[in-house]
Amino acid sequence: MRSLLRTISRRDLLRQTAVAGLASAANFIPAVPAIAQKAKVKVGLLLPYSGTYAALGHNITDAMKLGLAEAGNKLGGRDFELVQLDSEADPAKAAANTNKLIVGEKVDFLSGPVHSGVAMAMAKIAREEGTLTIVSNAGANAVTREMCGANIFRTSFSNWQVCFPMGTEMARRGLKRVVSVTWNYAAGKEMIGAFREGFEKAGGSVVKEILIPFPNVEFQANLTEIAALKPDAVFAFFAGAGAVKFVKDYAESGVKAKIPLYGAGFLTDGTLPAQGAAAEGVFTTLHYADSLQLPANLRFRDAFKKATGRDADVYAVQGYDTAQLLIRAMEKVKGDTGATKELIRAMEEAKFDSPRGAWRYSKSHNPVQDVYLREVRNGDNAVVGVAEKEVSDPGTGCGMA
Amino acid sequence: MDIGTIAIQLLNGLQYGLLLFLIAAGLTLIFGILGVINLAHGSFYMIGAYLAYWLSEKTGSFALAIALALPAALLLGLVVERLAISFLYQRDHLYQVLLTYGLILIFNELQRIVWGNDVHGVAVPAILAGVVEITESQSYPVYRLFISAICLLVAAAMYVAIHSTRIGMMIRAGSSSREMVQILGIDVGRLFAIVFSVGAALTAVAGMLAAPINSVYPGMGENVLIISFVVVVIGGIGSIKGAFIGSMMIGLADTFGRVMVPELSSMVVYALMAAVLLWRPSGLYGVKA
Amino acid sequence: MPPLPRSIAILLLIAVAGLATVPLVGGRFHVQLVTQIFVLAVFAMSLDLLVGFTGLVSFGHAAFYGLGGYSLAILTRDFGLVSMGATLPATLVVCGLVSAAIGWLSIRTSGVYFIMITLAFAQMIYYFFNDARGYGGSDGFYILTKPRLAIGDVTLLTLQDRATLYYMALVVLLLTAAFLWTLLRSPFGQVITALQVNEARTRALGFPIDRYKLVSFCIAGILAGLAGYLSAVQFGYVNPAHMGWRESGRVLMVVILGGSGTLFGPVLGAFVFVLLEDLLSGLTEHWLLLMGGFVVAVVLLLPKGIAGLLLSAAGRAAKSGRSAETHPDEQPSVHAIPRGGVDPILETVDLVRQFAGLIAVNRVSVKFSAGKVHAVIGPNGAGKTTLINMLSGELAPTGGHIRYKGRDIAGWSPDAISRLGIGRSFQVTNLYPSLSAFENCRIAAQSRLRSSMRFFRPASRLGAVADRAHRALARCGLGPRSQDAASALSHGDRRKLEIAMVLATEPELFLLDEPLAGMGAQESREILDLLRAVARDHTLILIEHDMDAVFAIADTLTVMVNGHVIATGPVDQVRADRAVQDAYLGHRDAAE
Repeated sequence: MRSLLRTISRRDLLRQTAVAGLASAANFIPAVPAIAQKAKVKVGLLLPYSGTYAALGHNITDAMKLGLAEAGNKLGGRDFELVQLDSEADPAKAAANTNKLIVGEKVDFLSGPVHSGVAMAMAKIAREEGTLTIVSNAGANAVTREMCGANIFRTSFSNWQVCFPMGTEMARRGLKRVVSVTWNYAAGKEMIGAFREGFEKAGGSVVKEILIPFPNVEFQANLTEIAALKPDAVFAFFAGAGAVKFVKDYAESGVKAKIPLYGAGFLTDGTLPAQGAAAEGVFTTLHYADSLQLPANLRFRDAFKKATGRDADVYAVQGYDTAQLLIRAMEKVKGDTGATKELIRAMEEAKFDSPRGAWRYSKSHNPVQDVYLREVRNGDNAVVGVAEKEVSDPGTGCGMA
Repeated sequence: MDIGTIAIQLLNGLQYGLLLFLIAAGLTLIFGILGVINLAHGSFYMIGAYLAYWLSEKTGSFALAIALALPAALLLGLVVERLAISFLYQRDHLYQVLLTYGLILIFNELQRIVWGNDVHGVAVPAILAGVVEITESQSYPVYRLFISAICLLVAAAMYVAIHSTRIGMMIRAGSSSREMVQILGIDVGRLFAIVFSVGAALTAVAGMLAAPINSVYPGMGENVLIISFVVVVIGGIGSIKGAFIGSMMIGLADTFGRVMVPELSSMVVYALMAAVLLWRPSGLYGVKA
Repeated sequence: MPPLPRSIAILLLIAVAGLATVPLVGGRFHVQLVTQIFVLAVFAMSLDLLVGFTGLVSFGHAAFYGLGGYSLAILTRDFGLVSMGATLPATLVVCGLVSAAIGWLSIRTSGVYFIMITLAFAQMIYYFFNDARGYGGSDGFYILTKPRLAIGDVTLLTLQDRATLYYMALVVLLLTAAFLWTLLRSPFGQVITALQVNEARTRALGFPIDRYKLVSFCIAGILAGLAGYLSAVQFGYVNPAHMGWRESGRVLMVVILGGSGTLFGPVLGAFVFVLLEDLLSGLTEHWLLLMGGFVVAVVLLLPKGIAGLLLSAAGRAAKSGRSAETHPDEQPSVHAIPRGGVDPILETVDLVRQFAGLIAVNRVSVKFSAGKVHAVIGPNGAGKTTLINMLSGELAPTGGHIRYKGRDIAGWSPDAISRLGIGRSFQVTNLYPSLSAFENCRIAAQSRLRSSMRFFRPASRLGAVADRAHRALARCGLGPRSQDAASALSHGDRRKLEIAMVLATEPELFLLDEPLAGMGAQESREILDLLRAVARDHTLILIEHDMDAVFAIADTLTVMVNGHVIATGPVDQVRADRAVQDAYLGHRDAAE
């Protein structure tokens, strides 16, 4: 199905591109923009399909497709088409790519991306153009704060949301002095910033915030530094390859035996097979856990495995919920993509059982969700409890909040 | 910082530097003798790591995986040299940069097609797992000591090979003056092919050794590429000795930079390179361009 | 820069006319896309000034592009400036200053080292914006109010409007092209082009090449900043990724794909590259594989890029309309030097040059009188070329003095020495092969202008310079061949051309390193006659192996062996010297 959809959408695009080329080379041929078939609803996906984050892009996309297929492959009774565009997780190309989907492809809905830098460009253009946009991963706080907009929704999390509860939780556990460590980039700073806020509010103190040049994965020097500081615990945020490397180095350097490791959920999500025993006993907080024993989660994981042969993860859940939101909103307006106000209201009011728990939105269009405390046990993120129930991002700076 | 910590940071810096040396040595040879800027050098690092991961999964033994991966890496280097690099010897640096950039894209996609998008880990061989306690709060992984030892061994072997074998003589002649090699009546085509594939294999070995401590992931080659260029340029193009000193400098600068000037740590290595080049425009041991 | 074939010029004109109508007939997306291409084209042209015309391959050019965007963003947010009249000049000044600082440091290196040092500086700027708090870090930040151009209260343009921005970008593109076109024909442009073809020669002609490289680097940086400014205006978003090495690599690819060393090449490159990316990224998930294959294919099959393809298609048959301009075949003296004057004109005192352990020139003290022909002879490895290289400044002495008219010039740069009036020819002929004989001499003559930092008037209109070049050519008997490319000349004519070039710089003292090397008998005779004529009004110092020639022309003889001078004085006296006969001439006589 994917390849078929792709071919159709590509052909349109190809024609448009050719027209643009011709129009410039010989101006006598009038440029006729390929008019999208009004019968089909167009959903643009700006996700990384190549490079370091490709796995995330694929899981989000495949889960969306799964959700849409479960709904009979219709949106509000209409056929639809997914227009996939490789974001390469490159903020330098983000604006042009967003523009290509919104203006070039004239998509009715836009979804993506993984990278926060890409999200910032996407949110800006989406706000100007008014395209209904669902951010399906990037956690940049600003998306549902300063940059929030009536037409911008998020199905993932805000960086603040997943880390603030960990601060409270660690203080509750009697930890007093903590070192936090992350890459020196925006998401990392937001994560450890939120952690600090929660931890210090609850009486703890962050003795040092270590920022490591992005995307450097040579951690040894900083681990030695941590060992010398002898804190009660370490709070870390890394994702993907960096998370694998950090957790392994942390264990192998012998620090783990003395200083327990805590982190944002991404530290141990989708990376456990690669981390192996090194991850055992690491505590993290996230708005989801693979092992959540909720009926919706069990059903979803089963279906995803059947459809793709892979195990679902938090990214897949976010993609799946994006589809749920689209399906529900389009049903409400009976497929009328022009009814923007109604669509927005339908999304705001959508209530359903997400694999992560009950779904509802905050005023700034960020999900209000439970943040789970998980511990790695036998190669699995076991849910130990709920770090904080119904966490809602404060939405500071958002006019709607 | 107390003495113990400083000692360990020194060890960290040297170990990082030694691994960089393995990558940079191949790069500087290819640079100095073939006169080719090989941006695809990082791809060999990535391929080495993936081979180590894949073969150790298949065979169940890390040592066996390396034994199998090494000839594969040599062969791959040879194929790449014959099919692409050999067309570049007479061409401007600009085209070399471009073609090898194209190779990066190709290798990255091939990696994704063959091994997928996931991050993988490779287990440290059981006998090398474990740590050495240095102070009561500090310890050091045995495997890292092992890597350092291997790198030192390779460096020593290269030193001997370059100073007392025939091919070493050709390499020395070639890196000081490329015309010299032609004058000496050496089969240049063969020398170049050997140097390239050995250089590629050295880098692949670095990738294999790093696989257990690093994770194995798409695009991992690019992360080491720029930094190994920095090493080569600091040391002076074509100089193995320079590459060695350069990697030690970068290893130590990066390690101590992070701890002592954390807010500037991303820039430290680049600032170091710029400073060296301003002092010696052809690197520490480079032949004047 | 060779003129554009008419067919290509016409095609380009039609394309520009076509592009001007895009906002009228095309959709919004096309307007956006083509605006994007215009911006990339300006960026690529700025890099081509460095890569294709100055011979400086920068791998950090995106730093200036990104800086242009960040300047605008910071000026708008922190200083509340929305007027284009304020933000644009300020942005260009910032980019100019930063590129001056980086350029000043970077041009000390060359080749691969230059590539790497530009990368290093760009990475530092990248990390500055990536790490710094307050500028949005890796998430980047926004330009919420787009610049306006207003006089008083009347807003002339607002760049918020897509069509306005489109035309603005088109105009900037055309102005950039026109500016670079003018620049490359100016005396300055001639020097940087010459510099790219043959750096050593250009310096030996007396051009302070570092200064020219630096100015070129700054202009390129400012133009890249201009492109970055436009890009930031278009999307209202800046990110450190805009200055990363990937962006630098991408624009380098655009330049090479389009064809470096031409002005229209990078523009075509920008079009093809963007449209291709657009197309391929939709074909398959593994589109980067195709992109990689395409890049490899371009390098292997299209070495001169698309522009090269077009140029060869256009035939290039008409080797431009200019035919050999006739000039009176007079033989006036190029520069009459009064004989005598300061004596000795040049003197070395205890001159030493040491190479790692080896002493090539050892405490050499010789006096050279004005108006005479001095020959320096000696067996291979005696240190003759090292000596001459020190006299001309190619090598700095490790000890001792060189006095030219009483002034110590030891360690001066070649260009400074050339400007003092010491010209030199090289052992291996050292020309600009791709330029015509006349252009070779014109650049040489141009070096005597007080400065070639003139950016607008075409070099071809410098009458006095052209006259001097023609006179020098005529004097060397190359008048009829003045329009031939230097590479097409015979070996003997190339040697003559080299002498003509040095004459065009009007030296008082002429250093010649083996002027007869590799000449046939007939050619040798011609060169010797020429040198004799030159010697009438110049002081000559020459190194030569051909003893008959030396005895035929030289007034004095200096014999070097193993870095030492063993004899110096009038020819006859030195010939009679027993030590010389033993050490050198004797062997030669015995061999005959």
